Amino acid sequence: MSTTLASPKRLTIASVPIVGMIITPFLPFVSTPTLWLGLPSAIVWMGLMIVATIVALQIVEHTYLREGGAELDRLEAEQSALANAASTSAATNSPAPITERRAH
Amino acid sequence: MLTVAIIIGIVGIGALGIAGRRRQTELSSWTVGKRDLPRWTSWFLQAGESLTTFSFLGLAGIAFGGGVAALFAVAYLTINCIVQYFVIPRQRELGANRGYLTMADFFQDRFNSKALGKTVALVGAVFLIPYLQLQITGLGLIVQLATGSESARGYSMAVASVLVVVFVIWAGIRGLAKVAVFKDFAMLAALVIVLAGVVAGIGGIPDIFAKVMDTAPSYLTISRPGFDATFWVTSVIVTSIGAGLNTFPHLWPPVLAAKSGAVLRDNVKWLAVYQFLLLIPITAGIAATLVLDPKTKSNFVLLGIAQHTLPEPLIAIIAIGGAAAAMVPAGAIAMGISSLVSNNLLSVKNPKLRFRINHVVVALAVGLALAFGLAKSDIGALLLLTYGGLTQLAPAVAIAIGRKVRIGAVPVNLGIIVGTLTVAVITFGNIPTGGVDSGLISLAPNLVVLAVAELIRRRRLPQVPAERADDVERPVPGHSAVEGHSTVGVEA
Repeated sequence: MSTTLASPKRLTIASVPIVGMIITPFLPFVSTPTLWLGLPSAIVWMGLMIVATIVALQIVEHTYLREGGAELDRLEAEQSALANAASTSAATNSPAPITERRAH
Repeated sequence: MLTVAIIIGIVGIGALGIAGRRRQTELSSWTVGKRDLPRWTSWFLQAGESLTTFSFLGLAGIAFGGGVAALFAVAYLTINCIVQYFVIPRQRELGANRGYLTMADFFQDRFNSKALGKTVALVGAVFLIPYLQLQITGLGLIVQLATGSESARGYSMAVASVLVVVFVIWAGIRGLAKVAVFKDFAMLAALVIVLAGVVAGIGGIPDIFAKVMDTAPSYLTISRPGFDATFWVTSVIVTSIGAGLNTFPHLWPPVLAAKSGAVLRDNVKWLAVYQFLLLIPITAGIAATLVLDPKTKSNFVLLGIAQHTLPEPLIAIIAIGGAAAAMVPAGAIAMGISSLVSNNLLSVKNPKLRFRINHVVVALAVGLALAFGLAKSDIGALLLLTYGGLTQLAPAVAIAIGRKVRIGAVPVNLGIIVGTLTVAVITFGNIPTGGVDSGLISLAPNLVVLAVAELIRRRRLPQVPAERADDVERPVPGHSAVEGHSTVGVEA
């Protein structure tokens, strides 16, 4: 379990489609002219890699949120809200409370 | 009639950028808003780089010459999403805490070096000019090809350039976001129309590829001259490194302006769907090999096949979509150049004067790119430097996003300079590289110089580690941790 976004486990999951795309020219069905369902196999393969990318990132996001990322996101949202409140206060010439200023 | 419709479309795009927006009066709100852009606004800004004039003119042209090797763009843009998922939330976090407005602020702050900030600003601004010209020239070419009129090319470039300057200066990043929404829908419509034209004019997609299989099967493999496996692997790797680590200065404002890292992650994990759209110009480019003269210039392929298969009103929609695909990146690039120059390259303390200078630089940058475009100056070679050159910033970005920065500014600066010069020597010296991307080759001397210089630095100054930890309480001098209100940030 890691709250680090770029943990080894998450990087490994994300690297699967990257490897799949880089090795494309060396795949046997790409190095010889091949049609799948009437389309060039390279186009179908790349379409699958796009889907694999989306799936991999969903898994990575899910594990991150489950392992503490959701709490970090909540804290970040709170900090942003405080910053915006202070910003609005300053814009209307009413100084932000010192506690809010420190929160920045 | 077609020319008039297209010019009206271009004016409409510009008006959209200004409509309903108050004029921005300070550099921070102009560049990054209030750092609170919600999910969908960020989405369309982040998607900007996926659909540009390159998607329109370039990809179909590459597919016309290289067949399915044109998929390399789909590969690097998809990998870009994966790398950015991990990188840009961190860049946004540092930006919000430390008040960055530009990429150069990030370098200056993380390595505690104004000189490095200025080097990055100079490299970024210079290398973006050809990229800006590419967008404006591409727009002119789209209009010329659609209308068949040389004069329409010049008029459309001039009108679009003026509108880009006006809406960028007036509304900043929020105006850009509004036009970006229109651009994505216009591009979608244009590409679907192109696909429909290909199907109606040439035949069903399976029939087209079956004919290509019979007549020129090499278009279905990554093996055509200049588009072999070496080209694929090195281009995909170097562009993924450069774009993934966000080394393009004009792509920083959308990241810094986002409401949170979660917003950026939420978007990036879906943004790869855009790459499905790029399969359309690639298919059109391969289909064009069946109907167009083999000597057709690569940039003419997409609109050539559209004219071959579609009626005039639909050509106008395609041309307006193409114009939008040029104007949004052009606006973002102009913003990137001007903020680097006014904020980092020139040390102007007075905020009002700095903002005025920023406006002048927007106009100058777009004017310069327009002049190069109208004169048909060939600064294309410089464009080759854009990707390779900016990728030389990647090692420094990778070092700087860490929790602590342990490498000195001088070694990083030397590495960037040596890497960039190597790209220039390879490009202008026409040195054969065997198909290996010059940007990737140049990363080697960049890293060697960085490592040797860092070793020397540590031996000479063992007692002074260049360690830079996160410091959320101290904004960059002259900037604010809270956007636009320097006193709050400084006092905090």
